[in-house]
Amino acid sequence: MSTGKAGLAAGAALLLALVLADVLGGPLEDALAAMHDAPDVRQTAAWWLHGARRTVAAATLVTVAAFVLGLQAGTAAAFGGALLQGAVARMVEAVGAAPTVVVAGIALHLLPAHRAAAFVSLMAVVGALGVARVVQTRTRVLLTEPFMLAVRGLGAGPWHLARAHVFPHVAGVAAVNALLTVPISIGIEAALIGLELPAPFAVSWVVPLGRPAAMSPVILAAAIFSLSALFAALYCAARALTARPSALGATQRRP
Amino acid sequence: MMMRRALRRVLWLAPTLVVITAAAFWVLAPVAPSTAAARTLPRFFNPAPVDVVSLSGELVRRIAQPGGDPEAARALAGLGGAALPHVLTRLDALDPEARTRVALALAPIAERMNVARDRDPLDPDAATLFWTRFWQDRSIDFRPVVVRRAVRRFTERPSALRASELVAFDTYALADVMDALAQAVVAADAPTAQRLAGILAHLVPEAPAASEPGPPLLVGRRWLRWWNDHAHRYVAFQGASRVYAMLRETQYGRLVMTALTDASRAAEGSGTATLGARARVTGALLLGALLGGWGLGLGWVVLARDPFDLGRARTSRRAVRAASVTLAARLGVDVPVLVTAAFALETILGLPGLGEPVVSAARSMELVPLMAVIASGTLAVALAQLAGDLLVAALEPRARPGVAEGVPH
Repeated sequence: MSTGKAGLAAGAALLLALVLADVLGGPLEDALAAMHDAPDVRQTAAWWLHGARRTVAAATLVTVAAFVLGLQAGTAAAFGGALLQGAVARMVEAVGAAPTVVVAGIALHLLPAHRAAAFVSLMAVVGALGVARVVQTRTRVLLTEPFMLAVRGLGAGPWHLARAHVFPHVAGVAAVNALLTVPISIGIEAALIGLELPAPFAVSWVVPLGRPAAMSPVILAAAIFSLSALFAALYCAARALTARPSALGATQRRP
Repeated sequence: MMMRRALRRVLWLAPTLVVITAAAFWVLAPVAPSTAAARTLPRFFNPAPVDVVSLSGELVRRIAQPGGDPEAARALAGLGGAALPHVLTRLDALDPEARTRVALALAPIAERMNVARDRDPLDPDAATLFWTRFWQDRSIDFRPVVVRRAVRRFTERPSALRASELVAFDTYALADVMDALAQAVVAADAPTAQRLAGILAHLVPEAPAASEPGPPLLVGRRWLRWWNDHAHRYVAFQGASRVYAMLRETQYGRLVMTALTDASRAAEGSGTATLGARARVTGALLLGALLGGWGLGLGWVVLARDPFDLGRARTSRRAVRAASVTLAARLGVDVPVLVTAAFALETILGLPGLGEPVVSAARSMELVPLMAVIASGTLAVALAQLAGDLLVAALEPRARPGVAEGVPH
């Protein structure tokens, strides 16, 4: 079986497990109890499944949103001139006006009923802005390439340029940068918990990292192992995305 | 081209700062704890700011009504000497009974000013005549230039006589006393601050700062904070100052003034002398996080691209260069994340940095420190973006503005 098929099979199995978390892992109370008591196997499984459901779902949503929004915004800024570039820069300043953990803490404080959604949205915006800045820079470089000058010389409009020539070249670097949002959001979630600000999830793989002293060693070890596996999966995904020659933008320089 | 662009970005900082802090205030003000008085103000624009003229006029109207209004009489006495130029000149327009009620309401002011030699201000038959004569004799003194001179003389060469001169102006001298107090910022100014605080405690005994003990400079800071919220009661807004008051006498204006007062005092080292030390700790950790993050980022991007190709120096150099362009482009976005990392390190290592007060402010939603964080954060991110753009332009000349559009550089 090829690596791609194995990855797809593993992803499908994980997705099924997450969908059936309540059935397979039992009620959420078991997962909560597992973090503070000496958990048995059933409670540990409940914690792992419920934690995976939230952490993996948040990571997926954040990555996809950061990729889609960032790619669009970055390309638009590169083609749109000073106005759109200024808009992206002002957005970066607005979102980065305070340390990310403080912005997240305030957002979660303001929306107590929708903490998970607020956190995922904020991290998606942070990720999208990072992707947009990189895509904008890469697109500007790309527009000076001879083949791009030739296409422009033939009268291709910005929409055709973006769709047919820019997207394929910047998608790799955009995806790698979007994946970078996952460790960032995990770090921010751990910081929120550790600094006693409102937390987005009651149960997740990250909660034990924010309060390691209050956790049972089994759960802490399981959290570290699970997150390491997640990072390894992200790395593999980044590798797969950059294996194509169009990845990372600086393609024409590859010897 | 690049420098012109950088200069334009620097010029954009001020409006960006105003818009972002105003938007943040709009979001945070409803949930932040604040005084009931502050909540009654408009949030951003006050078309009719209340000042000593309108306030004293309203109080006189209430006192002049048949039966009087004891609450208004007490409030008028609280306004003190600052209200005299606006009240005494209106006495003639009132009917005799109302005039007497207003004159009697002013009796506590006469006592505070040490001008009530007899019982005249408390005598219903003599009170009006007392104040009429007082104004005939003293109206020439109730001018800003005279008060300013009296305050200057008191701060330069203090004496009991000069203190009594100031006391004789009552609250009419508050604005100039506060100006003098704002100048007292270093340890050598502590005696002046103490003397001025003593005068203020006599003039406004009901202010909280009058009864809270502490080092003179800290007491002075409390008085200035109190003044930020109460200046409008003792000052007349006319002409340009009225336009300024339309912005200043709002929730946002008050907050900005309080933040500026606190920031300037903190920068000068009074009260919060540890702020600089905390900033140094956080700065060092931020630098470490920046370097570490840059290294990790390079690793992430380079390894993701060419994990087994690092031995080929030429490719590696190009990969590192390409990755550096990516990281430089992201710099503005990553700085707030790295500050979070610095805060987390402070907590883990138990170091006294900025993280503890900032996070504490976020927990309790304290508006003034949060707005200070937002203002400084906006500046830091804007400068980081600028630095990132310059770095990108240095590493990758084709990414410079104008190159893609075919503009020669």
